[in-house]
Amino acid sequence: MRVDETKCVGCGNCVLVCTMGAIYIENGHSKVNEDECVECGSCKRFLEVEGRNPTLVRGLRKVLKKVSLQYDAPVGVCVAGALYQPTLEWPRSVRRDFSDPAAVHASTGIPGRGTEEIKTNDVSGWLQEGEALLLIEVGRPGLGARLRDLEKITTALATLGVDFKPENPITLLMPDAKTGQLNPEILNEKVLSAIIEIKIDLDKVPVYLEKIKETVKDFPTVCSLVVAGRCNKHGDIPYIDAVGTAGLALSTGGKTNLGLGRGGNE
Amino acid sequence: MTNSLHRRGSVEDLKGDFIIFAKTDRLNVKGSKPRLQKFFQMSLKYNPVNVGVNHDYGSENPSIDQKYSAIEDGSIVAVVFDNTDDLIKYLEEVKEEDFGISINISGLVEEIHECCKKVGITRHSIEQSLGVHGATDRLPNRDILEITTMCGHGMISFNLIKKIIDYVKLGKMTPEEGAKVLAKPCLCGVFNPARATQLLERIRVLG
Repeated sequence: MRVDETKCVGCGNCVLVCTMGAIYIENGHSKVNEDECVECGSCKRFLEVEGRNPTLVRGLRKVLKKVSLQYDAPVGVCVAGALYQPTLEWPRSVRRDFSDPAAVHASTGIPGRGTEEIKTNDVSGWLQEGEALLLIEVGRPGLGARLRDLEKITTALATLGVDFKPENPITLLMPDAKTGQLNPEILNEKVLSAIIEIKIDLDKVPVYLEKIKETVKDFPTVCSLVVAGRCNKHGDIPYIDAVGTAGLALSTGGKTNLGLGRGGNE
Repeated sequence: MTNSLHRRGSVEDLKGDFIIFAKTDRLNVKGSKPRLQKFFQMSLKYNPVNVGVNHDYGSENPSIDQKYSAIEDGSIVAVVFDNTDDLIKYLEEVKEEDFGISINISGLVEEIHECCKKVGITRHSIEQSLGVHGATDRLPNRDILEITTMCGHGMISFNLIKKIIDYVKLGKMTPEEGAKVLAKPCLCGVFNPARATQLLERIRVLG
């Protein structure tokens, strides 16, 4: 994201809404720290353009300041529409792909973080009984992550001989998925979050969770872990014992696929 | 996308926070638009606190009509309820309609299991969070996390939440007004403004 300084009046609303805290005020204008910006587009979408004349607003603010008053734009507006999105070239475009929920991943055709998980498992049958899906969402909640940090996890998992889910945007950025290494061109790119997906045998869950815990001990950012499984005919949760063995606690909340889907395009 | 999976809060709070959504697979995406539209439309009579369609409207705060019009083959349609009574009524109708599209519910696993049993559904697959790991000392306080995690794509910044909390504490905004502002950046419409209002009210009372 960029700021047109000829339009910016320095109201600071974009500073508030920036998901990464990458916008700041300098010399009366907003500036974007492009190294920290993840191109999520939230600032531009969130702030409604008021369409005021920036010169008039600046003048009014100076006058008000002289009488010890100030003009504060209401939260949720950009006074003169100073934010704009330049065309993103590779590898910077990776930031938007993983951070802007309005962007559809070209690799999977799925918006958001571009992953399917168990959401359509009743149709695809991708995850079967006796198997588990582990997801590691790196950067979530709210801190973001460099892809080089994410790579620390994928390379660690690769030492266990894991199969990364092929239709996953992160896997598709690995020239050779057996190594877990990402395309070196993208390692410095920062994203709001990105999800690693691996399918393993249910009884291997503790080993993989242990590896992940060990890898993120001195991690510069956070990651949210998820486990998923196919229920049996009674609807029982399959992974309770495996997670307990790993010394982790299941959250009270989760996502339930009701099994109402079926294949067949019209 | 795990955008509805990591919501933070006490069990009591989360009893007012359920997201039901429809998602197609490549095997049934074709011709799904009218069924997704019906899924959206019929939810409106059961008092949802939010409805959403993944779509770039160019700006935030789209109307119900804009959201409905944005639905196309393969859209993800989400409906948020703040109680299980309305959720169950809606779920009965969804089951009756037999859309043939995957339907998921996010929220308290056991509550959802009970809802499913009442409607005669056996859950197919399940997914749960195992918590946040790594540099957790960099995260903000619980109030901020409970609000920000209601938008799973992380569109509600910590700084915006802090500002709204300040406004509510100072009486510059009511909790309802604050929740309305906080709901805006959540593009998919899975944010729960009713729960956010309660959280802001609690923060206001506790000072």
